[in-house]
Amino acid sequence: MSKSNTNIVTSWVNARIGLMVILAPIGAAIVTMFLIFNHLHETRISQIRNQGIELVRIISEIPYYQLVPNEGHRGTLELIKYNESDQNFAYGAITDKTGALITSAAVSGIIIPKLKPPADPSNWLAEKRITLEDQIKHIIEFHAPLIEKGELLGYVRLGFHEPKYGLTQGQVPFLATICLPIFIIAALFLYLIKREIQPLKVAGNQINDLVNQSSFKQVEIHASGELSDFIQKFNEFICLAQSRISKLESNKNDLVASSKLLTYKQSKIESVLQALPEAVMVFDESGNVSFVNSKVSSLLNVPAEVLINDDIVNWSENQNVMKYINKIKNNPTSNYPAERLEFTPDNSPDKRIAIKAYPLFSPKENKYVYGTLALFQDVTEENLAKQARGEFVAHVAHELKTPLNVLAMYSETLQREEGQSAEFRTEAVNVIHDEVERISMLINNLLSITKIELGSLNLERQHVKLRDLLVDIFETIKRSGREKELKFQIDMPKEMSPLYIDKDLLRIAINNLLTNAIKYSDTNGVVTLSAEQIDSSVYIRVRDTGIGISVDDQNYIFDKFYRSNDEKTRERTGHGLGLSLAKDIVQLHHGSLKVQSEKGKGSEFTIILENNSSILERAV
Amino acid sequence: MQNILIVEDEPHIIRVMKLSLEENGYSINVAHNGEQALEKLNDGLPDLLITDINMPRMSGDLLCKKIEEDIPDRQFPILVLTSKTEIEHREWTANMENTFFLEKPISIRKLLKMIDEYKNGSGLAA
Repeated sequence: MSKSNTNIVTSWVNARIGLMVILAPIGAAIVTMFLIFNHLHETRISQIRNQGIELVRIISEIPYYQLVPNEGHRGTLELIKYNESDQNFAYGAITDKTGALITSAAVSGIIIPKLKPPADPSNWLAEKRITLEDQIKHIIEFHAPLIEKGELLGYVRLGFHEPKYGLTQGQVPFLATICLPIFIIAALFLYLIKREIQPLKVAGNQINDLVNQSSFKQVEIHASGELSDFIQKFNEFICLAQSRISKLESNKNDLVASSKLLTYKQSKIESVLQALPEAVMVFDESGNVSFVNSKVSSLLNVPAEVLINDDIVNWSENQNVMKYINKIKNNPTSNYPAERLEFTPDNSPDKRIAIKAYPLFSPKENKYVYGTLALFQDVTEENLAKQARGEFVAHVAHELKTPLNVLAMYSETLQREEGQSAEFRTEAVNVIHDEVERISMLINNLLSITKIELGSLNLERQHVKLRDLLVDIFETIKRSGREKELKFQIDMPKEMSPLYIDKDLLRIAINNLLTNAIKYSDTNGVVTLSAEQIDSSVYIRVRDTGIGISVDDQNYIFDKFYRSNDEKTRERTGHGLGLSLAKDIVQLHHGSLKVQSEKGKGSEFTIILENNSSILERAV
Repeated sequence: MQNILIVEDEPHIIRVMKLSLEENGYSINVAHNGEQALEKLNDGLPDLLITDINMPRMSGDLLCKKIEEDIPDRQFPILVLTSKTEIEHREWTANMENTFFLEKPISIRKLLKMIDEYKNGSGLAA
């Protein structure tokens, strides 16, 4: 309901109260007067009756001759007419026994109605209500028989006006005396009530204003007595409400502030957990997952909603994982799984993931545990590296042992002096020399790669004629013992700008690529070394028609120690170091090493170097 | 015991063994890996087979398994050249009879002694 409507209703109610205050005493006066009039009327009627009956009886007992007037003096009826003080007297009449008028006396304006004499003697003395011809006036008639010596001579009839509701002259002052104080009291009463109501009305308006303005202030009214008491108590209540409201508001502000702070802190913690490089899952005290950062779902390949809401069986059927997680869930304070658990997720068999649980101790009370933090780590690479390292050591050992074996056998044979031709001795010495070279090369490779990785290797750059370098490497490598099985090709322009490079390192890189090309080629394969310069970039390519490298393996071949599990690769010895070293060397020259390969068709490795000297030349 | 088949990928080792054994009157046949050795065995069985383990294409252990399958009534002994660490992984020879080991680095003297002892019926003792 709108405010104006409320006002209208309030003022209407106020006006109605005022009206009631005026109307109520008037109504009461009217009712009282009606009752008085009614009572007077009834009294009057019964008075007339008593009087009528009495009079008609008295008259009926008067001798007949006395009733009929003689010449010269008035009859009894006339006497009654003049003497009857009653204003209601209408007429008196003597009739014979047929009802015919013998004599009568009536007040002016009244025609005595005709009356059929009653047949039954029990009705001779009776009262009757007669309506006059004008249909307005009513007459109460009393009649009695006139009997003389036991003979009915006629009837005496007396008619009285039926009294009307109305004031008699005598009643007016009486009523006025009653009404005047009523009106005076009503007016006084109205005035008093209005005066008493006035402060309430003001208070009502002020409260109305307060409600409309939605504000709380004390009501300012000067009143006395109980109203003043009421206003005072009301103001005390307002005061109390005001302080309560301001307290609540300040509490609310505090709450809002601390809730904002909490939200801020929570999002800060969540952002920290989200930013962690590790996949993090948080279990609360009751063992439910309360937080999962985005890395968990991508690591386990399970949507976050499933991880948070569902039971573990929905994302892992691995018995060990279920046991581990259930241990965390059921026993958050003790019996923490101390060891980390490594497992392969159901949906990605190539991955290896480790879980480790850490209890979340309260920083203040060490006994209290908030829950558990489970750290998920992708240890696939770590495991591969571990495996590769183990294999690497085995390979290195083998690579070292092979020349050592040769050395041991030749030296033992040389120790036996008998039967050794000079030719054999020369060969033995050469072989021993070569094998020592081989060991030293392997060790150098190992040292180079270590140095490069530790960042302690300095490039010794010089201007090098690429063609000369490549031809030299190519010729050396051709004598690998497989020259009869394979076809070797070299393809490059005769003139190329000199390259500013570390010759020895680049030789190792190209040598490693060529060694691989030969190693992984089958009989009748073709190994091609080519070079070209496009703009400032120099491309050195080593191509073979060998076993090729699978797309999966291409992602890892430059990783140190990596050796493919491919059967054909495994048939060939290697230490998983050659490509890694080659890439490191090329990168030291700010170049790049790329591979293109198809399984069964062969591989092509491309070293791309920026020819800084040619840039300089062009600039000059 | 005259014919010896040497299965080895390292050319220098082959050369020394071949020379030394030929000097002692043995006839030497050479295979560079397991595959080649199986081919040679098809042409005729040797009196002794000496094999390395770590070889391209077909390793020594695989070769021995193949021989066990292909020649169930093998009479000739097999001498496996192993390094110390490989000796620790000899499970694959557990059910193979008439198989012996010689530890690397190979001593020609030891090798000749083992062959002599085998011929004399005292077996091949590493």
